[in-house]
Amino acid sequence: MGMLFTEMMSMDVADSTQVYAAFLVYLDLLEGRNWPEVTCFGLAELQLVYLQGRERETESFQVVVPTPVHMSFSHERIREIMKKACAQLDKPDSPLSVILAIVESDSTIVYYKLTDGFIMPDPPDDTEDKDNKQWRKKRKKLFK
Amino acid sequence: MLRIHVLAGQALVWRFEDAREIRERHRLVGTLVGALARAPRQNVRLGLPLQLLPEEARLLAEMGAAVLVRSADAQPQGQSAQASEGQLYEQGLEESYQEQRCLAAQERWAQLANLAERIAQGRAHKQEQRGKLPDTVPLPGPAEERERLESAFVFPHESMMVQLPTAWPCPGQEEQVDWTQPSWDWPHAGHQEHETRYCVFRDLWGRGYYVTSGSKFGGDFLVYPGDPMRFHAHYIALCCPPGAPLPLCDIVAAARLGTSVKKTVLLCSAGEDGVVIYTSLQWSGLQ
Repeated sequence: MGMLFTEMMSMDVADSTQVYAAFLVYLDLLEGRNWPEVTCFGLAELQLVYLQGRERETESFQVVVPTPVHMSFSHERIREIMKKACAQLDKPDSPLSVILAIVESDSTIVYYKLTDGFIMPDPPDDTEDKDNKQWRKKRKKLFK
Repeated sequence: MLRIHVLAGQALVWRFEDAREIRERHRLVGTLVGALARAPRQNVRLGLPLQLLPEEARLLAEMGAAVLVRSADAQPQGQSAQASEGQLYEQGLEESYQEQRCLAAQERWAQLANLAERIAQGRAHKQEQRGKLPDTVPLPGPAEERERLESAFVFPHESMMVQLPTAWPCPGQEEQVDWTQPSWDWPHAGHQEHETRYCVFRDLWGRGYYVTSGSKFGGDFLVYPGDPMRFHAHYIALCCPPGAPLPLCDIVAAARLGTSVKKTVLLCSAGEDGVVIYTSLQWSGLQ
């Protein structure tokens, strides 16, 4: 583990906080969530270390971009990261997509997915989804 | 030609035919902001005027489907004319009050007449109880009773019904407003924020979506696949100037809100070439 961290640092691509964040995410994915495969890459022109991995053997590879919470991104920069990191993946047909891994100072990590274009939300599951009590109340009101 | 009345930056549509056309023909929704005459003290159901977003009004003007107008300063009549109008109104109110008082008294009298027998019985019963002899003094006749009632009848001004006129009073002079130039009544022209929002709004509208205000969900716009009366919104659009920094806390907050209300957050930026770029933000699904 320690070796990997020094490896990341020696890539000399990003500042130590970003590298440390990448290291924590690496650990979380591999050890915490048991991803079978996670590798790290450097993007010199954008000064960051990112990860590539997959959740299960059967799934395809995804790009995970670790970042400390205080780092600032503009929409433009996010797009650039998406373009350059996904180029590595060699999946020209699928839409650009990365998982942003935001690392807090207490090492909490939250993962959010960024995709190019319009991704429709999942539809709600009908009435099962509604809290029963609320649904009954609503029905009563409607059919009064 | 649709008429949009602008007042201090707000765009209002007063004619219901215009409001209908705006929704049915031009796929723009707006918000009803007027009180309903018969249900004034609630805001679940509101009526005309229809308030349009600055982006909606601009789109209509740009398409040539509407003109922006403002009421010219209404002072030509002078103070005295206004005063007499006020007087006339007060007079009308007073007449209405007297009429209503009369009618209310009549109704009260009719009520009492209906119950007259029961009232007499009650009186007799009470007198028996008190051990008095039945009344030898004749009760006052009906005509006298009525007079007494009418003079003593209390009808407070607060109980009076007042009509609220719902027709748009004739504004007199109207003058056209140039939406390309900033003015007191239409200050948006030229503002960077407005231009960014408008670029995104027009692009989303151009793709066939219905776009409304997104302030209830902390965003700029809500994007619907069809009329909002029939569909839930799919996206919460956040307009970001391309180079402006986005604090990660805000991204987390927006994404989390989107997940809990089952909408995708759209980060939207207009490039210099006018092309709008969209990035969907969703929860990753990783527990």
